[in-house]
Amino acid sequence: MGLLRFAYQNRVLYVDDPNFTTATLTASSAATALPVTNLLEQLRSKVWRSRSGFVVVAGWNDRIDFTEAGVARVASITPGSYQTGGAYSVVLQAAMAAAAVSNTYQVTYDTILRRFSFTRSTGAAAFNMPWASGPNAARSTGRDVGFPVDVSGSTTYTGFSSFYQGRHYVRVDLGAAYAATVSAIVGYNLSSAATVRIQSSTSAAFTTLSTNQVLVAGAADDLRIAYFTSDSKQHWRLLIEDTGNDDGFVEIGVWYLGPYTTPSIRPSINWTRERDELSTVVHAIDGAQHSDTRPVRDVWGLEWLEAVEADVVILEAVADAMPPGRNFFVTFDADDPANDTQYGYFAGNMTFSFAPYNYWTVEARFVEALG
Amino acid sequence: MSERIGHGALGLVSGLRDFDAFAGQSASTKQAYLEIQGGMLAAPWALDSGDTYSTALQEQWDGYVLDVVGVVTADETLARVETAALCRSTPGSFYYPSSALSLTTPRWDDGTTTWDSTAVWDPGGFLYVHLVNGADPNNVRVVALFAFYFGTRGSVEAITGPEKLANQGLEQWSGGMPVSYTAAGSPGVTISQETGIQRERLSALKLSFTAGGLIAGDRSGVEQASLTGVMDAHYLASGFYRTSWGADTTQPLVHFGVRCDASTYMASDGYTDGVTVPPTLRATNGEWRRFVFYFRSPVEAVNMVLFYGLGNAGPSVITSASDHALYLDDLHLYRIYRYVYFEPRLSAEGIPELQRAANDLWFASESTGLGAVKILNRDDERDGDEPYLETMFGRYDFCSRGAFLRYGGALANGQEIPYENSEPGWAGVISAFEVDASSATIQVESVRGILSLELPLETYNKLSFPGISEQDNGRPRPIVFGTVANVKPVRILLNTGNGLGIYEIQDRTYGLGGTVFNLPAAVYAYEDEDAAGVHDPARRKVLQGTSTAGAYADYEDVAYGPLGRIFMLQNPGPVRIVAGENDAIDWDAGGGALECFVPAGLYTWAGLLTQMKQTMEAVSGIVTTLTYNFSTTTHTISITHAAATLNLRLDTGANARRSIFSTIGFSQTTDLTGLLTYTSATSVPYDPDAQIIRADIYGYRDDASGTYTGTAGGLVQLAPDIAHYILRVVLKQPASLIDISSFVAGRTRSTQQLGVYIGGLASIQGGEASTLTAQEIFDRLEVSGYGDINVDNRGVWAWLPRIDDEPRYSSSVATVLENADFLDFSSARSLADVYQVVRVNYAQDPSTGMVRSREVVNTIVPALFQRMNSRTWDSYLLSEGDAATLVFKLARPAGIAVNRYRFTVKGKLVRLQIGSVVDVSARLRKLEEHVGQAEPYLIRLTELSVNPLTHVAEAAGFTHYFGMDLI
Repeated sequence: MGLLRFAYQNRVLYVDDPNFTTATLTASSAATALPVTNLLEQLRSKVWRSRSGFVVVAGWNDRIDFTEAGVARVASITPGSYQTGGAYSVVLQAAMAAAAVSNTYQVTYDTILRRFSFTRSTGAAAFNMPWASGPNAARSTGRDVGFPVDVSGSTTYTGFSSFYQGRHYVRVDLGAAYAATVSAIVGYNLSSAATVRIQSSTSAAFTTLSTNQVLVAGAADDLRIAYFTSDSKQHWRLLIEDTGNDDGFVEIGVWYLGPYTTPSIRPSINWTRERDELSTVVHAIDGAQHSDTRPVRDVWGLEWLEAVEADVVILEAVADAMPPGRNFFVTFDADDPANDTQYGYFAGNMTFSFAPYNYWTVEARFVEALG
Repeated sequence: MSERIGHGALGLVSGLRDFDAFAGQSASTKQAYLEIQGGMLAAPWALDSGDTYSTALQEQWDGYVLDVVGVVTADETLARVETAALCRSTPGSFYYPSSALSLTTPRWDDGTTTWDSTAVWDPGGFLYVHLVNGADPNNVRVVALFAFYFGTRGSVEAITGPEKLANQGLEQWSGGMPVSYTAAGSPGVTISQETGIQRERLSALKLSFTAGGLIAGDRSGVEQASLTGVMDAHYLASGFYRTSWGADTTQPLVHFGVRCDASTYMASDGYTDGVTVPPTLRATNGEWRRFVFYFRSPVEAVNMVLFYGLGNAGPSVITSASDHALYLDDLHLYRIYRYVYFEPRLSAEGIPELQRAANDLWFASESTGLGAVKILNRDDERDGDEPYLETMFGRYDFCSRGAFLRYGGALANGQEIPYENSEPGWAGVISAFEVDASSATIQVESVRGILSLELPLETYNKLSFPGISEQDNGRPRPIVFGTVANVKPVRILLNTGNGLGIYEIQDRTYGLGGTVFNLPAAVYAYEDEDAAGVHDPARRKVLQGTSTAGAYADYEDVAYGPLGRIFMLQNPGPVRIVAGENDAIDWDAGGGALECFVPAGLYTWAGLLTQMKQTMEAVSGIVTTLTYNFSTTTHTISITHAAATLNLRLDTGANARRSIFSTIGFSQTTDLTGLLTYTSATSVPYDPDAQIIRADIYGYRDDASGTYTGTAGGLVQLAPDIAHYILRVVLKQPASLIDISSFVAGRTRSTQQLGVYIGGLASIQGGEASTLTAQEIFDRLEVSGYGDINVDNRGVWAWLPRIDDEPRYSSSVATVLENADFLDFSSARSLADVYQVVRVNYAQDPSTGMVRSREVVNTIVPALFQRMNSRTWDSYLLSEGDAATLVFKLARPAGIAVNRYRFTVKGKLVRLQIGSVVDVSARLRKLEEHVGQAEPYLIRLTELSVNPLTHVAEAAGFTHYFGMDLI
């Protein structure tokens, strides 16, 4: 059983703070009415959503490395938004044709199996596709079309299933180096096969990664989180790979990036969890009941007994920064953050009681944020 | 239903239960959605092509570009179309690219793909309008409307455009097929109209197997006509269907598909195209269920074809004609313009109840109360106190713009009632708002508020009508429907040629173009006001008329202009000739004295001169010419003789004391001799403002499409048609807010021909010039047509006939309540609507205000209730027979103290209206009904208040009085 951690200093949430005028938040794409700036709102339901279809962003996923008889070729894909695999395959084929010297190629999309195939149509030059190791692997579209690794030794290559969306990123340029130790997301539509990474870099191009860690999902799969070694960088991004998501888009409601704090002692045995039923019931004249079924939220009663002054300072800082109604993350057990982290807010006052022999008793009620 | 489908993900789901099932469930999850609209002036406009103009417009709020959801002018509400090309070809439309826009959307070519548009500009950021009649929007005020969305919980929902299907209710049939559908597929399936198992209104589509059977592997059904779409745009198709069989089997199958090309369809994922078999729907075991399909328009075709049919996957031929049938009804297709986020800012206390009430158990003056909506503001001032809702409310004009509440949620089994199937809770108009740090409070009024408008809006005045008669200055400019007799036309100009009057009989500006009115039935010149007041035929002259402008024959008195005007060509007089007083003519032609006598009677001046000529020539045998000389200031009469001599014996004639000459302007002091032509010394009376002119007229004609009557150019004269016309043309309500089919259906029951004269002397009893509110006009129309003009929860106007004398009709449309539904219930009786005398006024004279009336006396009332009172309704009826029929119906419930009920129900009343009928017979404790009540405990609602969050409805009503005969 690990200690309790508070993650409440969300740097993403304050990107547009007037004190940080140079900070910017961008995404690989965004649906028209669900912009990336929705991540500046603490509501988990107010999501950023990628555009559906295959979105090609210059410098991000606009290259294909391939070789002809061992000679490296680079196909450049026209940036844009392509609604279907069929439409994207046409663009890919055109890019291949423009870069090819020895052979001609056909790119197809199987609408049933949802797989892209690259086929050498004419020519005899050996055709390989070093998706992962090619010189442009960092900006390759390989993962978008189901090719996470190099393929070689054939004239036709068929990728893994790829629905109608590619990879996506959400990127924040903080204007200056900023130290973070935890990143989390809630309010997303990711499939269980999705991979989400938190990455940091000194450059906007993310040519060299510092932090590169997977956000781990718990059993409930409604929150993903990663604690990592403190890293101070100007550029951070979430890298989302969920090409099998049949929604056709990726959405995220809250992205946390920042530090965490932890009291030196765990909450006491008086720790409680209540189910706060928001449902209501009325009764007919003759007793039949009619209910308005509403969500249940968990409410935790937290108590720290015999807290020392340093812990009080930590807890008070959390209370100062997080007035009632402001959401933050609490990891109840640092040993299992994926399953024991909650997103919520303080319901009322945090109370501090001073006891003899210089110990404090601190109490707080933490409410799960539903909306 | 997948939680994602409908919220951005594509796909098909079927077997869905609908809102009624949701509302009737004892346990469900409720959700409310609020949309409010704000507007801003859009300008300047540049000519795009033809009559289409465009302006750069890219408004942003909360981090994204707002969609333009509507465009209005003072007179028009434009319809949204999906492409600029459609806008160019559709008068009364607008186009905004919507989902293509982002904050980074360039207006000039983006440089990424140079000149990648067919035009100079890249798509996005431009609003296109095509006003009716090709008007230049630079000459009118054009307002772009933006929508803002809020909910009781945060969710992303699809926002759709207008309905794309024609005949979506499958009500119109021709040649055994629903209009706009065609048979498709193999033989083996019969297509027919079903009028017994329909889901809504009057009919549904039935598909059944024929005796020959559908062979294995085939499918057959109907296809909706090709619908223009936009490639890769998202669409929503939905509908109700019902299968006679239960379990999902391989045969038969229910197919619904969006055809991509000649032989392939969209797959059930809504994304994949090119599958050879259309998707299937789940069997419903005899229940009506819904299907909903979110899909992208297929790549291969921009023209979508929807297929509905039966299939046979094998292995054998299906021949069972009776056992297997598929019914379809209430089909829809919408373009999805956006997926938007509903901010969870509606609090439980923030949504007002919709309260509606009628004044009494008859017609008239339904009131609707809404109140204030509260939206939570962004409440975290530690962020730097940035304005949130203040920005929204400050930038756009919300006052007088729409506010719409919808109910949705989920059934107990988790099936969602998605936004597209959510039920309109109310539709209102924002009258005011106030924003503070914690919330914004929006005052919302019912759309019925427009009925407080006084009509006519315009009065005759010197600015608009410089030549207006002083006695008509300030008169309302009348609005006329049907047939109206004895109208006093307004003298708006003086004819510069003859100084006589040019009159307007009604306001032509509400006409529909072309021939706005039929010609008047008759125009009269009365001898005096008293004669006009009693329509005395003995004291008036019928003026001869022509409609041929510029080619008037001498005998014609008036010309009817094409736009409701009367041009007086001759002095109408009238002039009365009385035997022994002013009927004699004394003259000679140089020989002996001649005398003659004009027959006594009433003449126009032209008629009198004609008569004098005939009379004189008959005596003298000499051709005599009498000429009416006119200018703007002189109206004299000349007499010319064809003989060598003409002496008029004005003074010395034998009949000088009864001479006609002074009547026609000659001085009788001396005889006139020595000339062949004599002209009267003074003008005859010609002042148009002293003349008593009346006309029997017709009101507005329908347009060439028969929009309001069903007949091209037809006279608008039935109550539902007049109400429809007033809503659309006078009150400027858009077609989208009119339940046109209800008004069309209303014609079959409200067949009374009416005469409506709004805004003249007859607008109120007593003969005073006045205006009426639109509500008062509608009250009279409701009475006249024996129906209700309702606004439903969407803000859509409808005509609902009162059908209370057809056995079993009310029970067939009643919402049945169970004993367990009542959270509260009480019964009562009162004297509130008991009357001894019930009276209907009709055929009101527009120039005097006098009415005719017909009444019924409830003889039982004084004895039973000790009351001697009366109730009078004003109507626009013309015939006594109609008035007699109406007053009998109105008198029936006034003869007893009807049972009144007040009850509280959760859920089932959410969709009902004032005037809806509910069946409370299941309630165990209640008053007995009166003897003679053929269908007891059918309650017509007179009050209804619905809580939008709990769906608890408090209602009041009275026993629907079918079958009672207590008079």
